[in-house]
Amino acid sequence: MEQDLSSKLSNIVESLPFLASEVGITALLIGIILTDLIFARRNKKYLYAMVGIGLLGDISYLTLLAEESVSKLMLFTLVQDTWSIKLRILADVCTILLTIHLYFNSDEEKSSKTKLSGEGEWMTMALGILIGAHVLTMANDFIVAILALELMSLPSYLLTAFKGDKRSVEASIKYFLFGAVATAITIYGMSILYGLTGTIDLQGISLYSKSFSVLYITGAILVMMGFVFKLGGFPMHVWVPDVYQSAPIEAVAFFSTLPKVGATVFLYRFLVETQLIDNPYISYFLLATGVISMFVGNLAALFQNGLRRLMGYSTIANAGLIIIALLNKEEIAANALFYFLWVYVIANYAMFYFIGEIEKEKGTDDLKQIEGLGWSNSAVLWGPAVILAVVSLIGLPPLAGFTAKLLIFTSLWELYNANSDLIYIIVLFLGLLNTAISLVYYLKIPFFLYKRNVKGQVQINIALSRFIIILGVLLVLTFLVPSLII
Amino acid sequence: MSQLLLTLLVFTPIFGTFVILLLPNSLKNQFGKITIGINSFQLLIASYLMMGYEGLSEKMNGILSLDTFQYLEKSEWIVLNLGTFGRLSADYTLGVDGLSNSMILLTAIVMVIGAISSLEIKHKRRGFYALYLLLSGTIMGCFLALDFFLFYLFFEFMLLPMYFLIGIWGGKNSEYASIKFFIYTLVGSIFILVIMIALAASVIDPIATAVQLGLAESLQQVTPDIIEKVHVMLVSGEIEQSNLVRTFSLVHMMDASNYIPNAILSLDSGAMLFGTHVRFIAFLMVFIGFAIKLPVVPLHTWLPDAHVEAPTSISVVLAGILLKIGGYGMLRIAYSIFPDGAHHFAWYIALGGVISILYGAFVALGTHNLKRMIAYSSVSHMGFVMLGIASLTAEGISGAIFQMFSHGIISAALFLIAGVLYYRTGNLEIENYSGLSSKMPRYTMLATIAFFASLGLPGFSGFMAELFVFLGAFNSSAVNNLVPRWMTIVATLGLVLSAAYYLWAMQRIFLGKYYLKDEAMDEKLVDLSTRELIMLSPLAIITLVLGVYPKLLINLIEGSVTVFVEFANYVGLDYIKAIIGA
Repeated sequence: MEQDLSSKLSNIVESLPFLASEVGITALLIGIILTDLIFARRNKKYLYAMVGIGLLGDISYLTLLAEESVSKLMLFTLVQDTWSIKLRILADVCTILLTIHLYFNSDEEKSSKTKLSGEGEWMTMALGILIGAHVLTMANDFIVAILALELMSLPSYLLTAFKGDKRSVEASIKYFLFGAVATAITIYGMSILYGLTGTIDLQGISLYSKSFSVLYITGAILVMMGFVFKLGGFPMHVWVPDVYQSAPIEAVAFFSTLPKVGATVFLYRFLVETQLIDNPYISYFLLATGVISMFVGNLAALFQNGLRRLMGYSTIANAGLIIIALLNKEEIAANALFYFLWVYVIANYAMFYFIGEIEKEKGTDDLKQIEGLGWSNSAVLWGPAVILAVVSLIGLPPLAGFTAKLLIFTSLWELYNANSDLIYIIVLFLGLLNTAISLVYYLKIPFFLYKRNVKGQVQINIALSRFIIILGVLLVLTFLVPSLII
Repeated sequence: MSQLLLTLLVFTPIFGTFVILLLPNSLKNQFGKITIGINSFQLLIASYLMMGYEGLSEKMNGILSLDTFQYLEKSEWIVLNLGTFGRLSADYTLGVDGLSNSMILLTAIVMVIGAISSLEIKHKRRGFYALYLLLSGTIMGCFLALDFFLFYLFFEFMLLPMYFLIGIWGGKNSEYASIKFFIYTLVGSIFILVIMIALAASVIDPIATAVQLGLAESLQQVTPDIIEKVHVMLVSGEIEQSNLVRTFSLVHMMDASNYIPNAILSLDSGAMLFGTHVRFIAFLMVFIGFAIKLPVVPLHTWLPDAHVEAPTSISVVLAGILLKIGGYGMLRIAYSIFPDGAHHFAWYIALGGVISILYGAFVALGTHNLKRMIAYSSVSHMGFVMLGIASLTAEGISGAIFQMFSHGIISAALFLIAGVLYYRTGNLEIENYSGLSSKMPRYTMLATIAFFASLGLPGFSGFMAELFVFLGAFNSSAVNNLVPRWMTIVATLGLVLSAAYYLWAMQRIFLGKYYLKDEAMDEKLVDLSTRELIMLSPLAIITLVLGVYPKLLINLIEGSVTVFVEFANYVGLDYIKAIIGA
């Protein structure tokens, strides 16, 4: 026992260099807190620069690491492989996009005068969520996974309430309660699996994966719930519209991207490493969850008049697609998920930059507010870019969203080829049917934006509109040259 | 340079879109002229290509193998690693053969005419012309693509500019019409997408696989012997899954030996769905996808709405070219990849054609709106395309292609004719007008030519096309027994009906005593302007020339059609035998 402990300790010490990225971000987080405290009365813009430079450094470090083509490495409780490295880069990109969003939305006067401007707090919490996502992409056992999940969740609850008005506090409480329940369910599931198998690491659990005992499968399903909650998939989707409606727009954009990356990676690793992916009951459960998510999201989105809620339901629908893509253990599914997440992050950020600006100008996110704005002089380029993002979310060529969906559906088809189970084809059809349904509400955005005979005027932040355009162009580029991402 | 002509054909207008978007506002009045210029350049290249097209050469007829396509351009585009499933590759492949050459020419002609017609657009011109140019590029790409992925890209991409062009610049109810158009076509293309995925999962690229296996150093060095070897290895299962290179190439999909044994869509898969072999289902799905576009009754209901609401120039493009993509897609994709399904369902397809012919004509007879009448006449005329394709005889297929070209020209003229009236008065109810011939003689003359051409009077291209279709459909029962004689006989009734509604409309609008329901219209009704004459005259001349001397077009398509018909008949029967055997 004692020797076991010492070998474990040396293992931990040896594996520390592999955590350089996470350690770096933690250092950055502490640095932000300290500088925010020390230079409390100065202009806070330099905080953005710190985060930006720090994350860019992290990205370049990870890129170098990925190019060394790390083979899969199991270290006690963490896994290091190319996939997790690439997804950590994506997580960093999400945070950079958030920083950009915050930077252009920050109130110049407020930040220089008041002590509690929010910048430092925002950055700290965002970096906290980022560390959580990083760890979750590497997690290989339940304890680490649950820690990472909580690390992502707790700051999220706070950020939801950051506007300070009654509704956002209400949404925050709702989010918190749901999140707590979801985590509790997950921990309950983990305890069941631990009780059955006596181990908490994924490979150990895999030994029992052929078991069809009800308890085992229930445990596995319960474990997944907490992560499905982060994705916003059925039946854990109830928080999505309310939080999207009330939280600060920067937080919503962030929630709709980063936690999804972490949760998706862990879910996929959980399914593959425990070999539960081969278990038909788990497959059917996931298929059902995915399909219902798509229908719930898309059908409810049809009746929304607010852009935020519309995007909220679209998130639920997309969560369904992600869940379906989890089912194939071959490389194509990993590629599909990875590509899908990238494209989803880009398109979502373009949309939320846009929605945020509209809200700032018009005061509300009502669809009616964007009537005819496409015709205003400032919109010559950002208008089409928003449309590119919308079309990418629908999944039509020539935008990356199409390739992403194509990959997911191809992966589903390969699954059918391998199992010849007709259900995969049915799900494929239902997925495509949902694309057609989603067309109706997504098209509302270009429809209102370019409404005939209405010429709206809007002056949105030029710098941010440039970022919308860049994101839109990226969606076309990644379609034309998918190798940019994969 | 000549290697890049097709790319130029597709991407010049797309490039033009960005030019228009970036030009300063002070050049607002020049956008139309720039668009006409770019489309004329496109027409110039297309004409140059057709001049150089060797229609009668035996070797360069396309259809079956990539090296027989003319002006071929091919380069690697997307390669995806699927892990143990091998690799998936989509190539950038453009080429011309007898199925596509006439459509390319048609597109180029109609796009120029449409651009001239869109000078009538007075508001939000930048957006209109940018989208219009985008549309010309994507349509061209659709006809030129020889890779399913590339084809699908252009096919879907077309919807977006079309949605905005109808929705924003259309009539009162255009938002409803444009979304209906979008959803109908999207549902169709989703069917196509499923089969595209299924095909990509079933078909390998023997050339790239040979390179992957190390049988050849590079793609260029792969000889037919090596391909043969790959096929043998494929059948015997010697190739590991991870070495297979799956492809979207339309040409590879036509060769049964490129299918992975037991893959879902291979001949020996024996997989059944609802008691029918999956290949038949697959054919049906692709076919329905294109049938919505063509359109075939009962999938046609988006068409009249879209036409009535669309601005004139967009109606011209919609009727003139977009419908043809449906017919072209059937030939290039549904019939070429699944000739077995074509045989299996020939009877129903022909019936669909006949129903379209008659139903379209009957409804046209009962409409009061000139544009709606023309829209339904399009449905009726596209029925001939279906009937011709279903017959799978050389005459029938030539007739179908001829009809597509001829209808493209004539319907463009017809919508322009309607547009002339609409531009002046904003009203297209037939009953509002009478005796226009005395007031607008030149207009009456050109309208008469268009009406007569469309109703199939000998001497115009419409007659030749329909004659070919009838010959083919009638002969079919003797050649391959696909279309029963009675259908052809019933279909001829459509000719009588179309004569009826055209002549009746003619009589009501142009003949008789000069009368307008609304006196205020009187001063607005002036005869054709020079611009309108420039648009209409070339169309009238083309339909007359082709009516008198059809060989001009037939020479272009004949060689490929022969190859196509032979392939579809013999190979189709072989496939059916293989399927039933399996």
